[in-house]
Formats: sequence, C-alpha cells, structure tokens
Amino acid sequence: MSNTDITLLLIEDDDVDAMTIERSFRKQRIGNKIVRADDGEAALELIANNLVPKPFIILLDLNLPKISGHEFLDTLRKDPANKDAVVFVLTTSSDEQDMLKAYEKFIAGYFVKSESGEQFMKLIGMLDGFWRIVKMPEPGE
Amino acid sequence: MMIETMRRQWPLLVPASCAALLGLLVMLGWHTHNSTIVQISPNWVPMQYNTALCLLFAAGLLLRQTTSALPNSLLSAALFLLPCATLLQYLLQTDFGIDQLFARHDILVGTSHPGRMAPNTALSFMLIAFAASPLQWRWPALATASAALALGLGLLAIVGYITQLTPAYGWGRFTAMAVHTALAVSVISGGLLLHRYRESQTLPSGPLHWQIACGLPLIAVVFLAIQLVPIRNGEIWLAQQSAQDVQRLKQRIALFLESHELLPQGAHQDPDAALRTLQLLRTNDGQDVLSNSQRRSLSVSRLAPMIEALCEDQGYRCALLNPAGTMLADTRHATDGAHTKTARLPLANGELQLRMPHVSLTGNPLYNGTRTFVLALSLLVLAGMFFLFRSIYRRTQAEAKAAHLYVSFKQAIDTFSEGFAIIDHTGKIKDKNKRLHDPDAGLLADLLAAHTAIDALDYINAPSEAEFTARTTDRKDSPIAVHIAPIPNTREFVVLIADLYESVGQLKAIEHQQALINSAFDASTNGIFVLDGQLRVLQANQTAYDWLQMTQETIHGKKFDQLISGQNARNFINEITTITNQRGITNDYDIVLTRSARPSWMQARAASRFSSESKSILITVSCTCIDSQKALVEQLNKTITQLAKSNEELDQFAFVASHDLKSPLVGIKNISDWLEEDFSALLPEEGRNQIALIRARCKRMMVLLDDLLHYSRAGRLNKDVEDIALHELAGDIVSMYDIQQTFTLHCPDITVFAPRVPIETLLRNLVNNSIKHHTHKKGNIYIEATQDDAGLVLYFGDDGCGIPETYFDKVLRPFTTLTPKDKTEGSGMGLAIIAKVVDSLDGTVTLGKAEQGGLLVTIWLPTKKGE
Repeated sequence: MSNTDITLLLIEDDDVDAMTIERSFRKQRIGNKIVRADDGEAALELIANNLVPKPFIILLDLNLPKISGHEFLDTLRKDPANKDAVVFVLTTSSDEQDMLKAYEKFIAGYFVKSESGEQFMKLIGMLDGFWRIVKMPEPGE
Repeated sequence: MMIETMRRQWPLLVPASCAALLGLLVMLGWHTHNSTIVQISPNWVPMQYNTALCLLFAAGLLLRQTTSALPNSLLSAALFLLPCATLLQYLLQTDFGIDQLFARHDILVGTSHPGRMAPNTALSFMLIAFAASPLQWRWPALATASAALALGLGLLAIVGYITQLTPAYGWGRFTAMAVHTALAVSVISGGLLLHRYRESQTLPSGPLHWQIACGLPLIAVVFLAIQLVPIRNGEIWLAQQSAQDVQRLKQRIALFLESHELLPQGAHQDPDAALRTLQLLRTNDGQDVLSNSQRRSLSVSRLAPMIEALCEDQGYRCALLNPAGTMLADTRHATDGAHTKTARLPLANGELQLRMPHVSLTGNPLYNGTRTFVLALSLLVLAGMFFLFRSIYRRTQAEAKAAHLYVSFKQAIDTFSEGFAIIDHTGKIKDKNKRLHDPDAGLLADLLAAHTAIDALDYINAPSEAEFTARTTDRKDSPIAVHIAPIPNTREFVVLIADLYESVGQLKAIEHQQALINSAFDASTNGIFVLDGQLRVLQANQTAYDWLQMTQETIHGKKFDQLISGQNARNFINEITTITNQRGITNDYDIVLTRSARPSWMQARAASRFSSESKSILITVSCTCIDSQKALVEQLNKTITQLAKSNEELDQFAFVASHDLKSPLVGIKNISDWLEEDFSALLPEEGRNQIALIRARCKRMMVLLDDLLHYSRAGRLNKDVEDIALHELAGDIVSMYDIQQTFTLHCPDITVFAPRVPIETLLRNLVNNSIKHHTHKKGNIYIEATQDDAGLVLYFGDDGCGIPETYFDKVLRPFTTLTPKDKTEGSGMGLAIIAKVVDSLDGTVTLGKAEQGGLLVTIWLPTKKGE
C-alpha cells in the first residue's frame, strides 16, 4: 500500500479554509484523496456509510454547526469500527480548555489556524510527511 | 531604781525592815539572856523566841511582795503553820515540843506554858500569813480583812498595855502578847493594809471593797474591846471589895488580939499601927506565935478559926502564911493559885500574908446583867453596822454601775447621727448630744419652728399618745424630723431630731440624675432594651417602643430572642448569654427586628453589668437602624455586579469581535492572494492596483483587530511581580521592533521589582510607538526608572517629533491617531493599551515633552521595592 492510498477526511464548515487546504494539496502535488464534510453530522454519516475509503486520517475543525468537533470526537471514539482513527484538530480556538479536551479524546495533533496561509503550508507538509513515514494498519485486517 | 522601788513599796519595805530588826534583836536577847530586850519591863511577858522567828518570816513575806527572789509559798506556809501548831496545842491541851525548840524559857515572869507564843499572837501571825500569801490574789477582800483583823488585835494589845487592861493583850490565864509583839504585828498588818489600799486604786470598785474588808474586822475588834469594859469594871469592883475585906479582916484580927490582951483596948481602930507593935516569934516546938511588949503571946494558929469564920461569911477563900511562906491557916484548903490576891499583915518584925484567891463574879447577877447588856448592845450595833455597810456597799455598787451606764449612754448618744436631748416637762433641755443642730439651745422651743414648738409643748404638757412625730424646720428653716417620747416613770422626755437637709438634697440630686438618664434614654435614636439574666425585656426606650409598636406593659417579660431574627440572631443571643455570666460587651451584629411594623435591619450590641442594688445581672442592648445603609450597600453591590458584567461583556465582545472578524478577513485576504497568483496576467493594471489595495486594507484590518484584542486583554494581564533586569528586557523589545537596527537604546542596567507581563506590554507598545512614529530613520530611546517606598516610576522618552500638548488627553483614548492612517500604519491603540494596563495596576500615566525633543511618558506604579 502506498501513502497515496490514505484518504484525508476534512471536516470543515468554512469553504475558504477548505479551499485553502485543497489548493495547498494541489500546489504541493499531493495526490491523496480528500473527502470533505461540512459538519460533524455529515462526517459521521460519511464514515458510517463507508463513503470514506480506508485507511483515512481526519482533519477536524472544532467550531462546527449541528454537531461540534468535541461531540464528533465523543461519538467517533465510541464507534468500535473507527475508534482508532487518527484525528488532527485544526481550529481557530487557541483556548487551553479546548486543547486539553481534544487531547483527552486521543487526537494526534492540535493546530491553530492563523491568518496567513503559511501555517497551512506547514500543516500540509507535516501531513504529507506523516503518511509518508507512519505505518498504518491495512484496511480489513 | 532603788529609790523608785522604795517610793512605791514603802508600806511593805518599812514594816518588813522593822519586823526583821526586832525579830533578830529579840532572838539575840534570848541567846544573851538580856531580859530588857525580851521583856522591856520586868512585869510584862516576854516576846517568845518563836514569835521573833515568826517576825522574821513575816518580814520575808512582806519583802516577797516587792521582789520575786524569795519563795513566797514556803514563807507563808512557815508563818502559818508555826502559830497554827501553837494554837492547836492550846486547843488540844498538848505539847508538841515546839515551844522551847530554839531557846530555853528562863524568864521569871510567869507564863501559862513556858516558851509558848500567846494565842492572840499566833492568830495574828496566821492572819498575816494569809493576807500576804499567794491566796490573796484569789480572795483579795478576805486577805484585806485578815490584815485588818491582825491590826485590830495588835492595836487592842497596845491599848491594853497603855491602860493596863490585861484582858486586852492576854486571853484569860493564857500567855499574853508581849508589848513589842503587839507593836510589830500592828506595823506589819498596817503596812499590808496600806499596800492593799494602793493596789485597790487600780480597780474601779477596789477602794470600796478595801473599805468594807477593812471596816468589818475593825468593827469586830471594837466589839471585842467593848466586852472588856464590864470585865475591867468587875476587876475594879473586886479590887475595892477585897481591899475593904482585908481592912475588915485586919480589924477583926486586932479585935481578937485585944480580947486576948495582946493589944490594948481600942487598937482595932488602927489595925495596921496596932499590928506593927506585935512580934512574930517561933517557939521551940516550932509554933509561930505573936507576942507583944508585955511578953504575952498567942499562937498564930489560934487566928485561923476566926479568919475562916469571917471568910465563910463573906464567901472568900483565904490562906494565912508566915514570912517563910508556910501555910498557917486556910479556909476550905485554899490552894496557891496563879491569880491570888495577897493581903499583907505587917508586924513589928515582919508580916503575915493573907492570900485571897481570885473570886469570880460569874455568879453576880448585876455583873452578869451588865455584861449581857453590853454584849447585846454590841451585837445590835454590829448587826446595824453590818446592814449599814451592806447597803452602803450596794448603793455604791449601784452608783458605780449607774455612772458607767451614763458614760456609755453619753458615748452612745454622741455617736448618733441624729440630734438627741432629754427635756423636762417644761421643755427645758437637761441633757443633749453633740449632734443637736443648735448646740447652745437651752429650751425645746429653741430647736423647732414656732408652730411645731407649740404643738410639741402641748404634747409634753399632756402626752396623749406614745410618741410625738413631726416633720418641720428648725429656726433657720432647715428641714428636720422631730420625735418626742416620754421616759416612763418620770416627767422627762426624749427628743430625737434628724437633720433632713442632706438627705433631701441627696434625694433631689438622685431624682435629677434619674430624670436626666430617663430623658437621654428616651431621646436616643437608638433602640435600647434592658434585659434580665434570662434575657427577658425589663424595659425599653421610646424609640424601641415606636419601632415595635409596643408599650412598657406589652413588652415587659418578652423574651428578647423572639423579637429578632436574621442569620446572625442566634450568634448574637449566644454571645449575650456569654456576657450574662461574665461582665462584658458583645460584638456588633446585624440582625432583623421582626416584631416591628416592617422588619428592619439593626446593628445591635449588648453590654452586661452587675446591678448591686437588685443583686442581678442587667443587659443593655442598643440597636441602630441600618435599613438605609443596607439598601445603599445592596444598591452598590448590584451596581458593581452590573458593572462587572458589562465589563465582562465588553471584553468578551472585543475578544469575540477581534477573533471572529478575523476569520472572514483571512478568507478575503487568501482569496485576493489567489486572485493575484492565479489571474494576475488576466487583469489590467488598474485591477491589479485595486487588488493590492484590498490586500493592504485587509492587513490594516488585521492589525486593528489584533490591537483591539490586545486592548481587551490589557486589563487582565498576569500581575505576578518579580525582579526584572530592565536593560535586558528593553533591549530585547527594541531589537524586535527595530528591524533596520537604526535605533539606540539608553537604559541603565538596573533591576526593578514589578509585574513582568504588564511591564513587557508597556515597553513593547512604547518602543513600537517610538520607532513607528519617529520622524527620522535613526533615533534614540531613553529609559529611566526609580523605585522606592512610594512605588516605581518609569520614564520613557525619545528624540522623535513628540505629541503636541493639546492632544495629551486625546491620545490616551482607543483608536486615536494623529497622522493619516495611510501614511503611518497605526491602529491608534498603543497609548490606549498603555493607559489601560497602568490603570489596571492602579498606577498613573503622564505625557510630557522629553529633553531630547520627543514624547516623554512617565508611568507610576504603586509597586514598592522588594514587595
């Protein structure tokens, strides 16, 4: 399995932010598939309906309509099939409480959105490196 | 010392010396057979050796009274026992062999028993022994009486010697008291009496007792002496009788001799002369014969029947003795006795003795009558004297008691706080004490106001009631209370006058004080409750009554804890209970007075005090109405809460605004970036400029939002203080903002003690301002700081263009800029943030002109050194 087989589930309500990430993927020529959900509910539906090809990693915004990021994490970690999913949080909240609460749900990393696009570039670079190096379990095993 | 003792004790010392001297002298006389010393006169009885010894004992005993050197009991025992033994010898008619123990009796003058002390002497010594023995302290009157009796006996003997009244110094046929013994006994007992008299002066009733004790024995002695008068008369009569009888006997003898022609006829006319012509001869056959000049003779024994016949007639006993003492004739075998009258028949060559024994007059009814009369009279007088003495004694005792009572009474009435007087029925003052308000008053009327005086005089004229009582004034209009009561069995009255001036004054003062207290109590705007030990309300003031809409009657006895409520009420009651046991004051408590018209908040405090009058604890609770204060505080708290809330909201708004406004702005900026990146070649020159403008505005908006965020956070910075190396911190900040490295920092290398984060924020904004607004590319930044007990002062200056003074106030407000925003990129928040930070630290910020021309910012923070 090559690293390009890993899907990125992007849960983000802000279109511009989503566009920025997609644009960054393109700019850096990263071929991995991106599945986007507008909110937590949509994301859970996608996962439940197996519309996200495994293996996937999740990039989660906390401030979401309907089901917030934290609620999404709660539900996810209760789902036996997907409780081991790797989740990165990308949010505008630099609140310490938010960060601690997120890490308690075993997230792999917490990133704060900054106004400039440079941070996004670094994040994308990190993600590219992550799935290049990190060994993930094979789907269906 | 010696003289002083002599002066005080001479009644003992002088007799003692005399007695000792006499005793020693007589003892010496016995040993040297000097009859002059022992007897004085040859016809008188001698002082016996034992008597002289007793004199020495008596002298010792007297000296013993002045000094304790001699054994008192031993001496008195010796002085008592020797005469006592002598008396016993007389009484029991025995001989203990004590009479001539020390010296042989070799004096010719006859005594009943050789060497034996006279019984009256023995008695005198026993009396003296008792009077001077230690027993005198137990029975002082008896001792005085003893001494007096001894004195009487001594004096009687002396008088007997002077008047030749033998029974006065010699008792019957017993040995008589010697004349110097009598003297010595008198002196000794006299001395003792005097001594006792002086001793008796120390006691109030002493002299009286002394007089009685002295008088009674002396009267007894006088009584004895009176008995001597008929005895003496009898003696005189007997002497005369016997003289006549002897003369008659002589005449009979002469007549008898005439009849036998031995004497011429008529010779019996002068028997003595006739008898002297006769001679007494002794014949060869040994017969005594009388012969005359004619040699006629007659045997003396022939006279005997004639004499006997005569004597029988007269009731005499008679004996006729020749000069050799040979009995020639006697009647009824008359024996030679101690008390024999001897008649002498003088003859030419000697004399015949006619002895007639003492004839008792006991049988003589006249003599007996006289004696009985005298005895009866004496007894009568004695009895009379006894009762007289007794009544005198009793009266004197009563007088002494009365005198003592009067002194006590005087003392008592003088210590009265009231005036006291005794008046007679005319109103005349007879006695009074020192408290009487008019000490010179002589009449009752002088003491009282006129109208009362009339009433009082009416009363004493006819006391109708047990007591007269009036409240009136004295002559000087001073208030008094007067009581008059009669003294039973007299026409006198007791008057008591109390001065009311002082008590009335005191009463008024107390009433005045009470009124003051009451008015103050009621006038107080505080509610005041007085509680007893069980916390029941006894009284409250008018304010409290008004609050509670109660009265003295309805509030009395109410438990105080039922009147109050509130969360502190229980604690307050507990603390009051504590001070009921120990005097004290409670803390202030906010309580609610529940029984009032509408519950009111009170600040209450209680104090306890022990009331000595009611012997109980009293607690006073003072309540101040604090409803208005409470309302104010509530209002204030509400306002503070509202203010805090609105501040919070404002901060929240600023934060949310800056934060949430940012994300669409980032979107706009990103999209404009992408426009330029992706479609730059497609746009005309003007379109590209407009996109650049969009990006510039986006950037300014970002800065504005950032600064707004800083501003909102400026009041909530971490205020932990620590030591800050000022130069290092300032250097870091300057190098961060001075990208071209063209500015020079002038800052002393000092350490200040201050909150690090706010100081950093201040310096960052100040440095940013200085560099951003500097007129030249190069410049200087000046930082100075001083810190002492007044706080920290930070001076920040530069050599830029500065700010005109008119804008000093304005620039401290947010979003204020002095240059067009397009020329200098600034949000106008720098100084506003500084002002807010300083304000949150309770400091001040002052703007001014620096020496170097630029702006001088002076910041004072209340952070003291080393705090």
